[in-house]
Amino acid sequence: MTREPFGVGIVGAGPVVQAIHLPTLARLSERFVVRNIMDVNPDVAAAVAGRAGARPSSSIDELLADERVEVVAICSPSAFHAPQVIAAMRAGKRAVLCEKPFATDREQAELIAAASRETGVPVIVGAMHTVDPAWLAAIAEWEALGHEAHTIRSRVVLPPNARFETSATEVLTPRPASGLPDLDDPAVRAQMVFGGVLGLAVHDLPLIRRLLPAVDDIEVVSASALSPWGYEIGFTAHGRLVHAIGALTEQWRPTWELEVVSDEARMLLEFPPSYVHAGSATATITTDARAVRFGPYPHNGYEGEWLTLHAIASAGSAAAPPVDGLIDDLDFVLEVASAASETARQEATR
Amino acid sequence: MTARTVLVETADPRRAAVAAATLASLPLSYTDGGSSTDAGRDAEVVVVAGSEGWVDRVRAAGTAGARGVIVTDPLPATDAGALVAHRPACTVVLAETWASSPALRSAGEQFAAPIARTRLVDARTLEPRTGRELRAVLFAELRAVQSLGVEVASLAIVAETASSILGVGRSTTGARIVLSAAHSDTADGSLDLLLVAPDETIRIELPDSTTARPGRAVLTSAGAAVEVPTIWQTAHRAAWLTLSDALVSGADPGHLEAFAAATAVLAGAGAS
Ligand SMILES: NC(=O)c1ccc[n+]([C@@H]2O[C@H](COP(=O)([O-])OP(=O)(O)OC[C@H]3O[C@@H](n4cnc5c(N)ncnc54)[C@H](O)[C@@H]3O)[C@@H](O)[C@H]2O)c1
Repeated sequence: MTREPFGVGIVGAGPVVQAIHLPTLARLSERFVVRNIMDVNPDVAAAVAGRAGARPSSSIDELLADERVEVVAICSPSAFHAPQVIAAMRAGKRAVLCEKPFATDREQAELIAAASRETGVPVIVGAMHTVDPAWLAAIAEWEALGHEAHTIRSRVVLPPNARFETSATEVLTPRPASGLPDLDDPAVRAQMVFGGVLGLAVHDLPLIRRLLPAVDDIEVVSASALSPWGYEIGFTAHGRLVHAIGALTEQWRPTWELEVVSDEARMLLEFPPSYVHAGSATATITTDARAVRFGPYPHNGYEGEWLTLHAIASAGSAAAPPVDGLIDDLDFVLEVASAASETARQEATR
Repeated sequence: MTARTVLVETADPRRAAVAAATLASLPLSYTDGGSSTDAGRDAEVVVVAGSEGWVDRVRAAGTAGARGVIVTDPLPATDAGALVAHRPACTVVLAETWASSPALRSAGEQFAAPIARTRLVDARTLEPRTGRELRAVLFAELRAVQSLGVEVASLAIVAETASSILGVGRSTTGARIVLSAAHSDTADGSLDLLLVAPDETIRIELPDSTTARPGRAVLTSAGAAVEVPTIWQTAHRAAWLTLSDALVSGADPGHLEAFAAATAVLAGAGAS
């Protein structure tokens, strides 16, 4: 490493920071050193900062005023993402990593884009599958061979998050237990599907967007809320079919698959669960006569995010992915989420 | 045990070959009674090709005095209900790509309680581009779901693109049913079934019906995963054994009723 590690400031110190980002940064100590951790709950800020050997802050202004903070990760609840990302840009930091989703509507996303252009501070979104090395290797091969996906099917069936968070770290702030939602209530169904897309499907929708010729004619053909928590969504785009299932269950086996089918080939991506450091996905491309496998590689998408952030913080905004692409991803996510939640609201449940 | 004489219809060479291979694997239960395109004669069991017109040929075999009829890979047939309304005087067994799979049957028996708790059934497959029409594939998926013990109450085909099809519906207990199929040369004839209940999942992988490669069925709960023992037997051989058991016990396996019910569900799914 030629330069000193970048100083990191982290906003929001919940389970994602404790289980994902601090363990990831510990693996990248030649590139990053955590300097400051802010949370609206001062006890959480103090305890989590203590773990990382960082200074705790109780406001974002305090964190941004810390000159040792060169790059900022926004890991607060989604509603705060846009204003906090923009504040970090205006404070003249080198680069910002924002947890997914980077905004909750298009206006907020536009504000981020405008601030990024104006300040020249690049931003990336914490969408770990988009930088998973197995995905990157497989999609390069898929596109080089000229395959055109006509059918894409996603299956995400996960045990409780705690199962992985507590394997990745010792969590300070356990999640509250959630009650059993009443799916006879149309508003509950709509909310569940919307939340499912923004919370879970969001990880794979950028991959799906890349596999589709365009997403300007999306038609949601099916959407349903699943008990106790989940979604089932089908949509078409330019004559291609996409189908996605996401469900949280009490059973132990994590399944996170994305299947991509063309006339002559099939690509299957199998991702590890969130939170853990279990290396990358594996991707298998099958054609008539043979199957080629990519991965698992030693580092996962979380390390991929930070390595990307390091590259753009070193090289400047020219190395950053265009912010318009992030807005298009978010637009796509929001469009699927709102159309699907409307369909789920109206579905017959019997 | 005396072997029952079997007559295999030869009209459709592919199905006749499957039947011949199955017959050879059950030498004590069945014996070759010669083959003919004209069903009937003196054979106790007639193996009817499930190609176009099989419903009429089943009836003809019954009229000609067969005690049992096996239909090899029956295509969806809108007149199947007529066989239920006016039953032929013989036991009819359907030998189907996935619905007859021995792994599916053991999963249905051993996992009956979790299957009843399922909130989602997702069936997916790929079909070679030179293979069946996707609606026929969807029908075969529906039959497999039924055979597992899930009663499908409604289905709608919500998307039919140039290369794929998607059907969604509900079981009688309110579970979401998803059936999807797509054309690809990478297809291997297998069916992938995922059932999701609040506390359990069941994943079933079934090979095509002509291989003895076993299907797999795994139930995962909070504390363990249970896999049904593998059975190295083709779906066709399993169906033929169902017939010989039925002829001994006198109990009808109910295949025609289930097939007719699936036909009615698909008919209600809407044309695109
Ligand atoms: N990439 C992934 O795998 C993944 C997984 C789950 C969640 N997430 C995303 O990560 C983010 C954080 O998730 P989490 O589960 O840790 O969330 P959480 O809500 O459980 O915790 C967030 C923390 O932020 C603090 N906070 C609340 N308001 C704040 C504010 N205005 N400023 C600063 N801190 C504030 C809370 O006190 C809490 O400690 C969310 O945006 C979520 O969508 C990502």
